[in-house]
Amino acid sequence: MGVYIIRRLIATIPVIVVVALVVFSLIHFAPGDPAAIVIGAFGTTEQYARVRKELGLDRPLPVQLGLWLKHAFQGDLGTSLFNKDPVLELIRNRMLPTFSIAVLTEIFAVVLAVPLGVLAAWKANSWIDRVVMIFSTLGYSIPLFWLGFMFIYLFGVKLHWAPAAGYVHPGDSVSQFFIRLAMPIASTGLVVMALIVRMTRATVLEVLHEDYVRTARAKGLAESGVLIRHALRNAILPIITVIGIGFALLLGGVVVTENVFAIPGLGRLLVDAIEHRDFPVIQGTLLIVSMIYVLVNLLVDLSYAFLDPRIRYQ
Amino acid sequence: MTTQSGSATATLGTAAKKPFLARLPSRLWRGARRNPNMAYGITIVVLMGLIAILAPLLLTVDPVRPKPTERFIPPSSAKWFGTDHIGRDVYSRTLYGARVSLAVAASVSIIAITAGGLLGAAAGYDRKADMIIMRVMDGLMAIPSILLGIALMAALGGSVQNVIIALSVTETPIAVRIVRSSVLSIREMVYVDAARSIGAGAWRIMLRHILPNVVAPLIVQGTFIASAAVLLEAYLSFLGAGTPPGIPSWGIMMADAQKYITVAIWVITFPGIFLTLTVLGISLAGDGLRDNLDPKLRRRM
Repeated sequence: MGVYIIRRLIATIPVIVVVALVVFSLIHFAPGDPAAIVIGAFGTTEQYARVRKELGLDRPLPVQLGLWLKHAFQGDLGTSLFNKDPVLELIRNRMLPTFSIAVLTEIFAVVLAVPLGVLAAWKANSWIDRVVMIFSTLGYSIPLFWLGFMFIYLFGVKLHWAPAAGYVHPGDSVSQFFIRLAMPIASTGLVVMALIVRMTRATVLEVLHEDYVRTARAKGLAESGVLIRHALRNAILPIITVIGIGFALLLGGVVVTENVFAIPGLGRLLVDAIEHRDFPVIQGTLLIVSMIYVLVNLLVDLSYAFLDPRIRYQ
Repeated sequence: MTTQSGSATATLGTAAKKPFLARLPSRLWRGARRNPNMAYGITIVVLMGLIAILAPLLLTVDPVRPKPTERFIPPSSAKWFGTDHIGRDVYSRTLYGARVSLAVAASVSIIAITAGGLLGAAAGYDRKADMIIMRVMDGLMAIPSILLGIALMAALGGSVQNVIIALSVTETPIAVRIVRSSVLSIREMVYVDAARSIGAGAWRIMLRHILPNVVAPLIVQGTFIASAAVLLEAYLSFLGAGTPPGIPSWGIMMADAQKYITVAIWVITFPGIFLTLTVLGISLAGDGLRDNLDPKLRRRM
């Protein structure tokens, strides 16, 4: 068990290093001079020199990389070119809405998708299965910001069921916080659900063809027992894997959703930063969100060891 | 799982006489006859392709010329999909929009599966290359693709060409992984040993025995990459880091229309429906193709 955890932790290090390298080199993908792009067509020579210095572009490339990595690992992600705030502070202030949506959406999606996937597998090739699969394929195909706007139009503008957009801090009103997040969660959730439903259906269907399931049925076990104790239990690992992988989709989805519903989270921060070519903020946000994704997948892998004893002894 | 699908494709490869690509049309036809979803998918993709090619002939007007006197006209028998905030015809723009989306989808999927094929083959065949390539791919996959896409677009600047470059970067790692794992499982097959024992060189084994068996899963992956690219182009454009305004793409149309949903919901509705149908069509065709290529799964369906 300990060996497995340590091995898995070590495997994470190169991933983090490569992510940091990709994020660092981002600014150098810009054709020509990034400082010239930042100041725009009307920038002066002084501004140009200042931006170059702020971005550290006046130093040789290896020195830039070394300094950037050193600062990043010390938690210093630089300052915004636009309003001079420390990037880490900007990100910290925007974390709450983003991660509330992400976590609530994940819960919403798993609670609905796993039972639907089991149902579809159990009734494979029936009309229930077809309906579930059509919805999951649709969920996969609909652009989620479009769905968000359709929700706003239908439930906000036409039916007046919910406020169209905006965000309320849970410190101000817990009920308003949840009411405002209902539509963002529902529209983001559909996309994540699609993935989980498909994986659940596929793995449960596979398990239902195993000999031990036939044995369980033959000895007279109730179908609910067969489905939950035998089928779902053995299908849980691939389902958890897809939840982990789907977390990237979810984080990307939340970035988009925030821009539909005017929620002041990391997604808004990132899009505003792109508008201003505020590279330190873009790089910082990318780094933090990716680290969180890596961490979630590390936790997913570690959870295997708890769920499946075979992995502990490998 | 990997070894199972690997052996399944391997049996297919050895049993067949013609190369996979030559058999693809007849395979699609047979698959579509057996699997109605796949038939719907192919039909949608073909229709969208025809719309993109024939857009000028389908009673469209200039998709970019504004007509300030005809703003926000709701859909009617004269203006089928209505007009937008500067009086452009939504029907014409939606039809022309298929060109951008399909061009992005096709380009990204061709670039990603080519790059994925080459890098994946190198990784599957050479230990040292494997170390380097897979570390980089793992790192790229650790950044959510929408975020990596918009960050790259922020650096590269907005143009259709850069959208294709950015999405190829985000989609290639998946293709690399699939090719690498296929190569790793196929190279352990008995027939590869047999070829080696009669003196076949590394290149011959690669081209004659491994490549043909990797093509099938790679093409299936290509369809999924194409559908992801259609969606991602729209996401990037919506977030202001994609196709530049002025070019009628579905993403840009929806991005423009978001401000006016309370007065003109139709402007955002139609490109959204076309985009959803296209992604749905490509996914259904891809699903069908995958099931069709995996005989184990086909028996069960």
